[in-house]
Amino acid sequence: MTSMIFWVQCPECEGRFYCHNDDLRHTDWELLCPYCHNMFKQEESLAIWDSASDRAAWDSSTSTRSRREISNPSDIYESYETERSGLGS
Amino acid sequence: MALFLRGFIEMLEREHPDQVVHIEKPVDPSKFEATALLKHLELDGRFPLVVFDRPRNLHGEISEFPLVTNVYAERERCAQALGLEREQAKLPLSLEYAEREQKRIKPVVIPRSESPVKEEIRTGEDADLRQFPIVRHHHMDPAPYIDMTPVMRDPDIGAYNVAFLRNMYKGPRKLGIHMSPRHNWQIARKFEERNEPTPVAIVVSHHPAFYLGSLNVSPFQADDYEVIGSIAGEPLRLTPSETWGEDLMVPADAEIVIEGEIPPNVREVEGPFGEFPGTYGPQRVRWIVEVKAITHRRDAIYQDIFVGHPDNWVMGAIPKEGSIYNRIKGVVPTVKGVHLPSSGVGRFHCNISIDKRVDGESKQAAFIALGEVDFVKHVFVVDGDIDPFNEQEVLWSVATRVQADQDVDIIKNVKGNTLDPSQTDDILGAKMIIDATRPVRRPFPERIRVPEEVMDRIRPEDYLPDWHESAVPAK
Repeated sequence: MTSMIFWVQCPECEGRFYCHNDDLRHTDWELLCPYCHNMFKQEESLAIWDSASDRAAWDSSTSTRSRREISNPSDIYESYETERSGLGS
Repeated sequence: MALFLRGFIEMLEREHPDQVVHIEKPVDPSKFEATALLKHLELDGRFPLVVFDRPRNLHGEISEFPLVTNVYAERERCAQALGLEREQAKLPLSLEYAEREQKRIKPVVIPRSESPVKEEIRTGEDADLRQFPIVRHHHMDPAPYIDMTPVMRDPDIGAYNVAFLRNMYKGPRKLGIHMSPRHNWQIARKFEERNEPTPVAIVVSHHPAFYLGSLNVSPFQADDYEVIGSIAGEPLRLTPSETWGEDLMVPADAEIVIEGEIPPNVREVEGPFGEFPGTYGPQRVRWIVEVKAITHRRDAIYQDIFVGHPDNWVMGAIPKEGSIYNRIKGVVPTVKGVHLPSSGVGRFHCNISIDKRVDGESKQAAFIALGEVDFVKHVFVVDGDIDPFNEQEVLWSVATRVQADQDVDIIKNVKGNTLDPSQTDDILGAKMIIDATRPVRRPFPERIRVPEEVMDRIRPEDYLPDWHESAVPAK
């Protein structure tokens, strides 16, 4: 199945998000983790799920890790504070 | 009379106080606290305009700018924004919009010294986005976003284009900007081909008629300032920008305008962002904006759209319905109504009701809707006894008047929408027509009804002690 996106997992906070295939897959762009604002190469992603890869491998990568949940707003705010002093300024 | 956002809010508070909710306790919009409250209201079935009186800015301090949002979450308020009555919020609003969209009212120019938006002018280091209560909307958004309307000007013909685009906070004087291959994208590309920066003025806060007008579906290179003036019913008042003077005029009555440049051939990652379909648009490689100046009224109000929710869906539907209706009317004169419901995010679904006289008319109407607005993906054509604004009725019609093998058509490889999460191609998608009208040429069962004469004779207030008019569902 084709898809316009691929999922990645941040090596720093283990948060998962997705990127646009044509823009970013197999490129040198550093990805921006929306949760902790870590910038990382996609090769560094803890797991990748794209059109060519297996869903089961992606699922198992979560189940074997004690993924840190980033849904707490205060965690995000701390991350955002980091961004304020660094990213893009 | 000038168009002021504050005047609109004051009118609502005076005439419809139930339409406005003030949140007086401090909230931090960059920590999802504003959208959390909006979501609670939504879950409670309430869609008021919300004023956060003491939002925090990006320094974490109480901002001097109150935050206004959810302005467009009810059609009745949109009708009022265009000077109509609340009772005209269904098809009359759509048709009025379409009629005004065909006309033009040229803007008038006023000097900077008389422009409310120039009461405070901040340039250089003082043009700091952190002073604003910028909203981070949904959990996967990487930063707060300004989600109102950048204005750009075509370098060849000078026409202005105004459109809702997402702008990611990247620093005190830097934004990321997402453009799809639409009008603004074409303007930016022209500048980029000349290796020149694209001037952009983000109108962060203005009267709702300005924003409803900016959603017009006029052809590329129509001057949006003129169309917006017509839709608002009065000329926009413009004034020279701080950065480019008369080369880029800005709305004088806006509350806040951010001026910046999109440097050519510069890209950064941007997103993900919770988008209008109610899903996240993926992280992409997109343009940036370097902020040059911020101008605002002395006691300016900061405005935001609750994207991916009724605030976003209702306003998206209105500008398209009237033009679809008028186009269908030319071919199927018995068309009774057109509605793009919020369940279809105000864009993807189109309900059309017609008094069908000939089999095949329903499909003609559907094709016109698909051709008129490329957002439309699924068209539901129903009979004239069905109110296209009543989704229960439309789905009843689908349930009882559709045989899938006879009444559903699928058209492949049509231009779709890059933000449609179900598309497997960036450009192409599939369209579907569901003809839920009764056949003309074969006998078909009649819909049940309680006799009208008995309905008229048996009045509920005579039998139900607590009956009151407000309990009567709207027709």
